[in-house]
Amino acid sequence: MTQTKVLVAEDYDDARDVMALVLESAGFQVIEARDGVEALDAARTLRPSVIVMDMFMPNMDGLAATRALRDEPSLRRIPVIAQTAQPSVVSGARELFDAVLAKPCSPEILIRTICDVLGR
Amino acid sequence: MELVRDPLLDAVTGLASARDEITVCTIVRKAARALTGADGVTFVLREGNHCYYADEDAIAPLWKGRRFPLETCISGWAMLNKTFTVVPDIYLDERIPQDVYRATFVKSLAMVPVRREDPIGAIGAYWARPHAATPDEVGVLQSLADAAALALHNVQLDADLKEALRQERQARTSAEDASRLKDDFLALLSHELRTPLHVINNWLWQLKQSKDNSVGMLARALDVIERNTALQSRLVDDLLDVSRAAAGKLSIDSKLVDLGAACVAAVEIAQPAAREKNLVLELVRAEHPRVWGDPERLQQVLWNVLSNAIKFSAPDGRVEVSVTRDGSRAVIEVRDHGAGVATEFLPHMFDRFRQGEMGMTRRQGGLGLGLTIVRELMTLHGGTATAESAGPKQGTTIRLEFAVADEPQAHSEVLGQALRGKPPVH
Repeated sequence: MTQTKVLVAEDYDDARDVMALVLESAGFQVIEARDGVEALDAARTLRPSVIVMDMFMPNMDGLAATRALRDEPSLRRIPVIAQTAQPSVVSGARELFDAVLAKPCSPEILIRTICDVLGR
Repeated sequence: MELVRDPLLDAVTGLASARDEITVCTIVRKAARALTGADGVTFVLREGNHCYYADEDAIAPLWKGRRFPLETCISGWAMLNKTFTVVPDIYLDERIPQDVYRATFVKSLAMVPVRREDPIGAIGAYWARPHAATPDEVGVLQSLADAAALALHNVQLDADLKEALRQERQARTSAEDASRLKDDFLALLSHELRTPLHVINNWLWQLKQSKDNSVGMLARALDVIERNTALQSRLVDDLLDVSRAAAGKLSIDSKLVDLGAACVAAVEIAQPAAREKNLVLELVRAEHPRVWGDPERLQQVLWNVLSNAIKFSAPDGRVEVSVTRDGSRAVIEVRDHGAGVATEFLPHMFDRFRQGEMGMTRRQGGLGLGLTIVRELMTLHGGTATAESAGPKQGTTIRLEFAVADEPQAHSEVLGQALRGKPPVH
């Protein structure tokens, strides 16, 4: 069976690196993006199974990137998990996301949430 | 029965509802002429030591818009003496400045003060022929003046009330602004504290989870954890400094400090951060004025200013530092060629909680307290911190000014040379 692809969109290098490490240890294949623009590109070309999206990012923030995903018929079904240090940002657009996690968030919860949104 | 309209009653009714000075003037001049049958009337207001001829209604121009000293003018006389006067022939009365009247039609007049107990103006009635105003004419003019005094008082009350309302609204708006800034700051603070914590938590979990951590992996983890812990410590230190400053509990421990040497050290410490962005950070001029200061706190000031300049520089840019002596002042300038500051934001550069308004993203990071702390510390040093920028993308210069410590010139010169490590030139 092929590995599940998780796209991690996160502008803070230290956070993105360790999340990639954690998710790889849990058996996922990880694709990394540093802002919303890169996340959209990666979603189109690499078709991840699920996206873990930071909100506060340069160029295009997580909210805008998720809205753009939801507007694209071929991408709109990809589950998006918001993972943010500022959960209030998401409160007005809760319906865009399959789950919302507040940082700091333990890897166990992230992994369980990924499995939940994938229906496993 | 025929209804007889009484012009005085009309005027008094109109004055009672007047809400501005122009309306009062208009009613007074029209009514005064109608009531007295005079050929002209003036409405004069007191402005300090002058009479101001605010309005008039006459067969030919009088003095509208002009000002005369109270003492040289019959309206001034009425105000100063708090009583009316009748002048049947102006050329026979020495109180009349005849030069001013010669150009006019006036041959006689009557003048009454407005607000008799403490006059704020006067109403004049003028005739083109010699005429001794009758007691009835003077009486009706005085009644009109009394009503006008009340109306002007109302206008003033009304203006005071509007001003009080405006001030109250303004105070409320600025309180709301302050509260919004505080909310934005708390959201930013929460974000900035959670982000490094998230990284540390994830690394700890990863290290625990993994069966065999290689030395390389451990070193990588320690490096990241150390960096993120330091980031959090700095946030907490900054918060504590700002809250101490707000409580007036920030203090310094002063010694004589060579500012040139302090800047050499600070630039050295900031070099790695500059290199990370491929910036040239250069001490372009280093004189050695000595000031009274707290060496550690001065390093904190310099680090905050330098790291700010680095933060807001575009990659591959330049940051220039200079230390000079300008008479009795020692001046440090840190100039970057980066983001710059909009003119309207410049006065708020050193305020608390204002970073959010600069359109920051996580890339800049931090709480935006650095310059607030700089200003507080500079104040404790008896110095100043100011910012200059020609506008967005035009770079920013932060200027720190200190008083040079008093000492004999020669001593300072020798010391300066010693610090530069150069022998004196003979």
